[in-house]
Amino acid sequence: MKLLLRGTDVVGLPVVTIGGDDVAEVRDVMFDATGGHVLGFTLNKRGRFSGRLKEVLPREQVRAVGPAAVIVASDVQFQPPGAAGGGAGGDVLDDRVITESGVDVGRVTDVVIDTADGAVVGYEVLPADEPDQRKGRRSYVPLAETGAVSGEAVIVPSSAIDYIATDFAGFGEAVERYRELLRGPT
Amino acid sequence: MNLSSVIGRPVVDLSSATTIGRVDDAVVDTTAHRIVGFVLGKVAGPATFLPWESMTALGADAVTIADLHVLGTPPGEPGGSLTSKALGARVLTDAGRELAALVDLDIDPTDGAVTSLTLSDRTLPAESLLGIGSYATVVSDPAD
Repeated sequence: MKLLLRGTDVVGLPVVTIGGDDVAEVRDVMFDATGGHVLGFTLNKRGRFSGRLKEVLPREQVRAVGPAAVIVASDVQFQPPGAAGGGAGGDVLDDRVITESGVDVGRVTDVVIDTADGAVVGYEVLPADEPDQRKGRRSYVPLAETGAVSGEAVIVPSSAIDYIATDFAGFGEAVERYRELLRGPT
Repeated sequence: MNLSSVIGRPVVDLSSATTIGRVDDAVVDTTAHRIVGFVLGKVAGPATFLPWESMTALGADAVTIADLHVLGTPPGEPGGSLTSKALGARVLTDAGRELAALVDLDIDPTDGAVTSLTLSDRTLPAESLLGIGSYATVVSDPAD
């Protein structure tokens, strides 16, 4: 089952062992330098008023990311920060999404992650020009495997415009169809 | 037999014909999927654990034991997981999904094997049980 989650959906999830104990919770998601993959998670201790954990949870130690919890093995070993690599890189929040033909789609408000392999498959954007009745709503732009990313803007192919979804539920299918198009006979 | 119906049953010592305590909790080996024994309450003395093999009978109205000497101290982790708090509590799958709450464990009264897990909307086979912890009961994902 293909399950897509937004970065903000994952933040705050409990980290639960197969044995059923909650050992931490997700503080933030770490991406690699190009922002294309999840490297792991920074952690908070469980419970109210408890602070952050120094150690991080690398992706290799994660058994599954679901809507209710991040599942890890009972003998999970959190790693010191830096061991997972990357870290600060790949911050695309508030970047402009621009197509190759020069259309400004909007600003990135969140990333969409495929929980099966940790790949970033799209962006949640606040559209640049929207009719008033849709003001404040988000759209979802599928991401090609390749495309330039900087701290300022994300470049997507012009064809991505046709696969923008306005609701998150239908976005998984849009990503599939879009990737098929990119792979297809040219 | 439902595990929840065993919790709270009186424990009767057959040698003295007195009630020596009651069943407070069950300890489950989540690898072998069976009840290791019961933790007793209202018992005089430090020995509060009744191993399954030391039990004379698991009757409809009472648990019977031969005498007080069969009681021991509870096994620590990973000997088993306490289950009474898991009943009515959260169930997660190993894919990170939350299922309906755990209602009961069905056990075989002859050998203590867990035969199935009853959730409020479905029944899962005992083999799907992966762990019972302080936060949740974890089962393998039923993929639906």
